[in-house]
Amino acid sequence: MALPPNTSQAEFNRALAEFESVVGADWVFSSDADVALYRDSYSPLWGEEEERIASAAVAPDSVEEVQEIVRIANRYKIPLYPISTGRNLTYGGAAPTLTGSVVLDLKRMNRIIEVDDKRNYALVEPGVSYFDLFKYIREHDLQVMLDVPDPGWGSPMGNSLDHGVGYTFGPYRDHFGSHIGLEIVSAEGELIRTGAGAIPGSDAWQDFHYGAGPSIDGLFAQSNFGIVTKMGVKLMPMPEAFKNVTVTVPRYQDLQSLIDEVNYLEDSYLIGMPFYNSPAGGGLFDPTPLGELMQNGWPNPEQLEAFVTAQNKPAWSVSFHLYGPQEIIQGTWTAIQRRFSDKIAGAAFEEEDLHNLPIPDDDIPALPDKAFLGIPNLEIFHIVNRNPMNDNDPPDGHADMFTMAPRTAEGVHTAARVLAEAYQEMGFPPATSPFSTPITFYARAFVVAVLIPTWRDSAKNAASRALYERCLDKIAEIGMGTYRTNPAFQELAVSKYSFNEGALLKYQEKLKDAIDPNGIISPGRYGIWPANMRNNRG
Amino acid sequence: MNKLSILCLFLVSSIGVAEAQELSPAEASGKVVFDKWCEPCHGRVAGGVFGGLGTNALPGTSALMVKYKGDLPPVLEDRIDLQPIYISTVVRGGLYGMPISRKTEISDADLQNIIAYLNRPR
Repeated sequence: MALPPNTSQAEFNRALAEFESVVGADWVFSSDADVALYRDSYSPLWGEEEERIASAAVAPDSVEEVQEIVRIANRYKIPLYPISTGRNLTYGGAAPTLTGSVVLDLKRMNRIIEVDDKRNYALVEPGVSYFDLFKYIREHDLQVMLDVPDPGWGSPMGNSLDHGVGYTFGPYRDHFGSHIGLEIVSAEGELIRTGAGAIPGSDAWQDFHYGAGPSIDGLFAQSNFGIVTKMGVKLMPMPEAFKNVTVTVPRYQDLQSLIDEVNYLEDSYLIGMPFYNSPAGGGLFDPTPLGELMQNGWPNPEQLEAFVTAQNKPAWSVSFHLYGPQEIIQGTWTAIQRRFSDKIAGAAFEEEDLHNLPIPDDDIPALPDKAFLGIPNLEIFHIVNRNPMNDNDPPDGHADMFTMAPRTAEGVHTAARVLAEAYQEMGFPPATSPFSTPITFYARAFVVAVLIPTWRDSAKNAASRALYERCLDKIAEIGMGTYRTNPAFQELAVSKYSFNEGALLKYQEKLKDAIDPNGIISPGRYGIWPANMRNNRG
Repeated sequence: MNKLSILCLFLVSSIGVAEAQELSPAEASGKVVFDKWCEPCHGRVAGGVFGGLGTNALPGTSALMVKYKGDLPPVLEDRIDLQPIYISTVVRGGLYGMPISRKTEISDADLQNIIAYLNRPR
């Protein structure tokens, strides 16, 4: 069993006994078998000395218990690693950043405190999952729509605090951006509420997020400055209907014009999440063999146009949902077609039937693309599960490499090219091509994504890690970074945000030292080390 | 309420009672836990994502279709060969893309009930 740093077995046993006095013996997990349940299932360090392993886990049921645990941890200087539902797969799961940390498992704190479908918000605890919240909304016939990430077993709070993302309207897809009001247990055990929640007796906690003075909410996302125990979530009123539509453009060079127009629509709040694809390039998950075209390096524009012409398919497409009253949807769709036709020669349009919302319960299981309607599900696991192409050697997990690119065609193409170079340099076939398309999880940025497999095999993981790190290095050379990553890569990822000799991280660590003098909350998370552990860096 | 409505209500109630009586309390509890934690990946009906990926089956079911190639049913609830030790090993240890489940999510009692449900007499 791992021990917390600078802690003897005897001291640790005393701390565990004190934890038990707070939560009960059933909710302190310290046997090897129980602690193993807090491993990162998708760890790129699985089974290696560097794998991040907890020393124990403690699972409180209330804010008061969290406060008591924090005070005990301060007395023993034992690091705590809070998790919500612990399903942050790809980004560390339930495992701590620092080996020997005690995982503070908040899954038992799973109360849905309030959902209001007139002021359109929810107030939840950390252990509530998207499945739980959706079920509650349905059972109470509340007319609001969630915005969900891919796996529905995650926590609205945890996902937001890791800058997670979803699939509906832009303001709601950015989950931290759509939180409203936090309750936080500080690193010293003090209870804090932000926004209007700081006013005793306020009924506007989930209506007004600033309060007066500096907003500190951002300090608690992807960080280690405190433990969030309640969070408000802005919810979209249930639209009357939705309609899925697609725009295609014929030429390779049309991508910039397509992006310009989609940006206009997205930033005007007229459309749901734009979903880009390349019919000529073979689609998102069925890439056309571009081998012949790519044999002599990255093709030039003329070669790419000729390739598109030979495929006899549109170069690019973008699909999106229109939400709202039927009259608005039809009017918006008419205007969208006019705008694209005016700007891009050969733009073509497809539309599906209009459907009323909410979707009836019986129709949900067979509904495609549930996440675009805020319906939690697990169907994204198709991307990494055993399939006919990997049947002989399916991966055990994945480490997602998300390159944040500017919303331009050049940004997408440059990121795709650099990632392809990284793959080739590390001996892997490229996973990106001139036909790679952006993902629009964030309304104001593009994501160019590659999924790198992880394994319960150290040799294979070493190759995957080297590839991941090469990708991070290469995208930084063109001024790009990533937004979220596994603890194994967090230091490298934040090191790329190095403007003015790393002034940002230096500032964050000054805050860390002031807020958490004993360094007990998630040391090392996203590269932020407390003063007493700063030599752990690297 | 007309006679037809009463008849329908009676039939629905009867079916509900009949189904409940088929499962022991442990098996019935196991089905509730299974439906929450396992069914979204290992159930029968899938919608698919991103323009057709996985429209034929949910991800866990689809993976087992590929793995067993018809030799065993891909839907776990149709299996009659799942040994308790195998179920607990996979739930607690994960397998390929399926992650580990902790005791704060699926308690030991829940796990025993899942095992009872998947091994129910048929």
